[in-house]
Amino acid sequence: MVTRRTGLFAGLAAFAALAIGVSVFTSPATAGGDSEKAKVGAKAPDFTLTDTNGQEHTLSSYTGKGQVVVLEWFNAGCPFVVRHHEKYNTMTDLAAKYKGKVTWLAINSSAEGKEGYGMDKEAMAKWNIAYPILIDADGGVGHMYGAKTTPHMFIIDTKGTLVYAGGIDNDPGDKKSPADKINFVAIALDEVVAGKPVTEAETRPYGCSVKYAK
Amino acid sequence: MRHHAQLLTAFLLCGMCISIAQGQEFRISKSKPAETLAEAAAKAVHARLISETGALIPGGSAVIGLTFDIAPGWHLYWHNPGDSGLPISWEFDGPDTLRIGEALWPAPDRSISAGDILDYTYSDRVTILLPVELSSEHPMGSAVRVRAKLSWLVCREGCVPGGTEVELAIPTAATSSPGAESARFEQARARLPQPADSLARQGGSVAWQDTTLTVSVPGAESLAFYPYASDFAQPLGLIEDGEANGSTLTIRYRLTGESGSAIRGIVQVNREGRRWYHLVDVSPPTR
Repeated sequence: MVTRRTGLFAGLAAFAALAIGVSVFTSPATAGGDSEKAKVGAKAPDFTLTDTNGQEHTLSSYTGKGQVVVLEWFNAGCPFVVRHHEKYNTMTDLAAKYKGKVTWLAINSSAEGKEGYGMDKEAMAKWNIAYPILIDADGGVGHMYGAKTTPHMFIIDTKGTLVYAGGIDNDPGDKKSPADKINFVAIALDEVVAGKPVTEAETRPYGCSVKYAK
Repeated sequence: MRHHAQLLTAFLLCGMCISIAQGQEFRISKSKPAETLAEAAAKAVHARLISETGALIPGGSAVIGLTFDIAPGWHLYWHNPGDSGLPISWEFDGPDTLRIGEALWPAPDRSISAGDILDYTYSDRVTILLPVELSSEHPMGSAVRVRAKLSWLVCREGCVPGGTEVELAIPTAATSSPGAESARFEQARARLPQPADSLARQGGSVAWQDTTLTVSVPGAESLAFYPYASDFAQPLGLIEDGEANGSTLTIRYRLTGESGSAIRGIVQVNREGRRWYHLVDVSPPTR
């Protein structure tokens, strides 16, 4: 009996070691320490992801064409995302305002089987989203950027530098009067598009947790 | 006779025939439609307003509480929710004769999810204490009616915003005695951070080394740290550094912008199966 249990344990341990070993070699981006995450002021990590129509998008191809890029971490099941796409048109209005100068990309890092996975096409139709939603189900790009919430917003300038990371606005509870609400991304985009430095480059993101695989 | 018995049996066995005839829905399949997240969330939180004492004394002080029973698997959030989530919040309404002090929140739990996301949450049950003072001008015998409009975010894997209105009429009397819910108040008090000098009284100390805060509590078996939210002081790496075996915690801080106000948090000390919670309230490091 003891021999059998030891054998089973050894087998499980070997399998676990193999699984860990395999995941280290095959994961496109390791969820490493702070040093591997995108930093405001530094070059934004490049990536290629496929959207809901099977089309590939590479960050550097947009900045290379002189586009400012906004990344919007997205999960159609999250009440904070619903608020900004249903109660308000926060994201689509901003994306439309800067069309031509700013490429707006939503990224869904929900793992398969977790909330938000597979909900994008329906969300795009229901919420009139004209920009692509990129699928990051293994969470590689999310980990590279340190995306923690949906929404979590990042702005990359035409030189490929990360110039903003944080919340969409200063009102997690949706309690502030319109006069007191500050849309950090709108202000930052005004500044970036005008070639000026971003005055408030990092704010606290809020939302549901990104539903990572690991 | 046999024919009648067969008919009767058939009819009894065909109970559904009657209900169909009556126009009722009869589910042949055994499984019910799955409950939606919103339906489950609506049932997941039961909130009440309670009083620690059976009555309030005009001219005296007492404690009332917002108490929450949370269904298994679900959680609510501390005033600093952490990386995601939203704190419990409320709007309070009571008579002019009642003064409400600053809310006392029990220490939360650390909740870590995939992707290194750290939240500060409550599960099962939590009571937020509200110290109150009743003016001596409040007429004796006239009940104190209080109401609160509550909002929260309750989460399992997914989150659903929720809320409710709760109210309570508390009698007034010349003397008082423990209320029916004193156990809840005791449980909450056991997790309240004690005032900032209590850490020193347990032999502990807090000091800055550059922008790293070192908490030292000789004799502790393990420590944990729960930071208060701050606009200018962000603790880093709290998944690894916010909890430690032994008697020392080192918390690296990133300080941005104008760092005028104090940096606060709760230190939890574990020793010999017991727990203590101390408020840490320090000035930012001098630079």
